[in-house]
Amino acid sequence: MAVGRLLGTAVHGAFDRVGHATVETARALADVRTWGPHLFLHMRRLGADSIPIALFLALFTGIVLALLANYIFTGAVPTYFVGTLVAKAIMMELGPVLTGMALAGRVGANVAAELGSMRVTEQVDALETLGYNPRAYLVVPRVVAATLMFPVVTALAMGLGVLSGWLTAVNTLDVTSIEFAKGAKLFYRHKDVWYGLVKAASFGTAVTLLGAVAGLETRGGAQGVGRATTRAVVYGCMAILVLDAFWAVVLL
Amino acid sequence: MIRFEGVHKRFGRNVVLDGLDLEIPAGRTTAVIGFSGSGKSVLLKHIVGLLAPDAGRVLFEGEAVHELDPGGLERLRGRVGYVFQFAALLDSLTVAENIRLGLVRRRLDEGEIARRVGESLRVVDLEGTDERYPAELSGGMRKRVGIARAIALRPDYILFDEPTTGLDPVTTASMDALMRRVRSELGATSVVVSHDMTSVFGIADRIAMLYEGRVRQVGTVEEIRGSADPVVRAFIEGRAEAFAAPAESGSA
Repeated sequence: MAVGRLLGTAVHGAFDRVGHATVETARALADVRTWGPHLFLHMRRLGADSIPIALFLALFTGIVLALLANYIFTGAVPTYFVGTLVAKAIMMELGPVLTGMALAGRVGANVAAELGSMRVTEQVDALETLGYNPRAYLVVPRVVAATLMFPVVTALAMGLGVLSGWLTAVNTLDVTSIEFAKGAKLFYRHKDVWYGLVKAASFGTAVTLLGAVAGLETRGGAQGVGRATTRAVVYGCMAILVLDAFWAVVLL
Repeated sequence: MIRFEGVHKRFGRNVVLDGLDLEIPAGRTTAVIGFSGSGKSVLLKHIVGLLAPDAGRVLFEGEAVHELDPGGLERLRGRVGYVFQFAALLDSLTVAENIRLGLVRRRLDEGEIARRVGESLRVVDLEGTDERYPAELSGGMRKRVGIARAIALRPDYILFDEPTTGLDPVTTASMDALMRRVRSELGATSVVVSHDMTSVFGIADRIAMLYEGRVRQVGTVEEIRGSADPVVRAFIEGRAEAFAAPAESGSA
């Protein structure tokens, strides 16, 4: 019972802090003069610079999916369903979720470590004494940048994932390009794409917001920054899975 | 004038300020001395609203700091320059960009900003360092940039948090001279938190000693030098044996 109560208090506390941070960050959105000039810098750092890792993941995901589909469908199902499975799975699920997970590590850790270091070296306090709202200066541009850029990175990952799946299918399996394309188009709906991109945008918001909360709550020195970084990645990954389920319930 | 009235502040079970009463008169340099962890930096942070008292109040020219709305707090901070213990320069920005931060926030025109940046760097003898990053500077240079950032705002009050900690004797002497020069050029009310008695005796008009969360004694340099209080005497003479267990929490 005591463990349950402690767990309940901890979960309630975490939701309370994240909720408070969300409201404060939403309020700080109005201070465009502060965060606007930093937006493109963070779009590059959090988004464009994440493209290589996302593409690396997508490349191998496409290859494995094509091989897996071929293994599953052998004999019982027409081989053009390889295209169906690769396209559907990458666009609707694996593209956004795997890219989100990779970016939770790269972006979430980056945001938490940077803001955590700034917190323990009093740079956040310095910003406040200079008249800035730290959320407007530090958090909002990162959250907005990630929300805009995660879908872009995910779209590229989706494209490469399908491409690598197609190349794998036509080069190593008994599937032609025409068959692969036929399968990919078979149950295709535009929703497949925007569903994945909406999820990616929400992952971007969650990962950076949780990273920022962990960073700004950092106490102590290097150890505190390490703990904040770990928390940001773990909570970021958990948030992606919860949001993934949420969007499946709401949009499918 | 700044006045502390019965200020209490604790962090967890660690009572830092325990009914602190102190008056900081305008136009003078008041030094606050005390052990590491005695609450000197905590006292400074209350003046600019970075911390709020658990009980009691801090009056800044008659207004309770923790009761100010965000606009009032921003106006207050606009009149105060804060020099942090380790300078707290934003390490992603150059020296000039760090000094510009507060000026941009105050919406000064570009010409005025450039003039003030140059003038502040001249006062702290760091001309030509505009484009260097904090990581490329020595500890003493970083502290001087911190002072430049504070004085560029032409503040009515300037708060120095351990300005000479970690500096060699020669750099300490030049820092003392700089603080005197800043005081004479700006005519600002200065509050200097330090446990460097040589430095304090050289720059202060008044000295207040914090001990066990309260002001143990406050007086002129001569009054403190000639104090009959055994705690004050032992502290300024550096006699550790006079204290059974000096406060030593580190963060305050």
